[in-house]
Amino acid sequence: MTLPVLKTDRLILRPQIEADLPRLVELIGDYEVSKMLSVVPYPYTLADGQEWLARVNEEAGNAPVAFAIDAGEGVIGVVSLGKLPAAPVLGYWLGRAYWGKGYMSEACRSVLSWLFGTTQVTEIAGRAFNENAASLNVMRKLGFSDERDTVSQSLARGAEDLPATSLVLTRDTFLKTVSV
Amino acid sequence: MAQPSLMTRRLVLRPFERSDAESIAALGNRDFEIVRWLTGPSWPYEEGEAEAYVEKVLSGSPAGSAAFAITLGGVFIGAIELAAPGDLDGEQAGCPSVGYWIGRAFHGFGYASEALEAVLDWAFRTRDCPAIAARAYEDNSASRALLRKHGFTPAGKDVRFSKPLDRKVTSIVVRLDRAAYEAGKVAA
Repeated sequence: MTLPVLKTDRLILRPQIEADLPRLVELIGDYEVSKMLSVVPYPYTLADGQEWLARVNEEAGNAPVAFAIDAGEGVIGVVSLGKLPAAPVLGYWLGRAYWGKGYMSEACRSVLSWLFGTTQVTEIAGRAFNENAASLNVMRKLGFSDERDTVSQSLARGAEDLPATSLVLTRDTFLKTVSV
Repeated sequence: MAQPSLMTRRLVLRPFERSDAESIAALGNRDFEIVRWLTGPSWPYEEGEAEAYVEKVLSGSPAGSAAFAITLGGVFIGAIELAAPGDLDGEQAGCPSVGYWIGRAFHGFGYASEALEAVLDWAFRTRDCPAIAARAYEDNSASRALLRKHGFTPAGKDVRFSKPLDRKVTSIVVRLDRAAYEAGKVAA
């Protein structure tokens, strides 16, 4: 799937490129970031980063769709949408230095506008550890609802089951309620 | 006059950019359900038409006209234009006129209404005009209902050649007088 370049007030959402690797490895290599994610190893190596880039750039049409978040000086995080159209799942992370500025809400609003406006997808799932209040807050603000208790694991932490919440966002809810 | 960006609850209306041409073609020009309600575009789409349209808008001509890209989360979803006075004749000759379209994927969520409200507010603040006019095909019930909702009242008819339909079409001309607009705002 060819991804567009989306521009918001402060951010550019764009395809990920080879040149993102050093910053990507550094930012997601922060345990405070990866411990909230399910499939990101810790420590995070250049090879892990290369493997991720190879996967998202696969030609096969089976690649997960993911946008680099760029505030003008290189990648600061990623928003992913899972495999489209078969299994839409919202995932995201932001480098620690960029937390608390509303960047993730801004990035997700843009990527979800693209998803619901230009693809046939009508529903997307999301999930966060219960301890990750900031992430749950981002999803609730975007209109995600239908919250259910679940458990999930973090590759960075090991095999421990952690309480988590799964949520769902429909196209209709998003397009009706999302606000700038 | 530098054209500002207008913010609404859900949308940002910003000046056109060259890169909008691709979205304009995909969401607008290549969808007959959009083009059929307009008079200017070709059908079927002619390669390069969207680019030429964007260049025309960016050149700022004719003077006094303005066009905004309607964006949702940075995604282009449609356009709204204020044409300089002269698009319509008779009593409306001195009025700017407003026109708009929203990509089909984004219909049904009230975006056109939100965009129109913002542009009317901006136009009445920045233009010294007695009224703002609009025209919609006689059978474009959605657009006519929207204009009615915003206080526009019938002012006549307009017959002109529709390029996409390749025939003359009759449009209903409506207008919103400044006094009525301002009274309506206070009431709301």
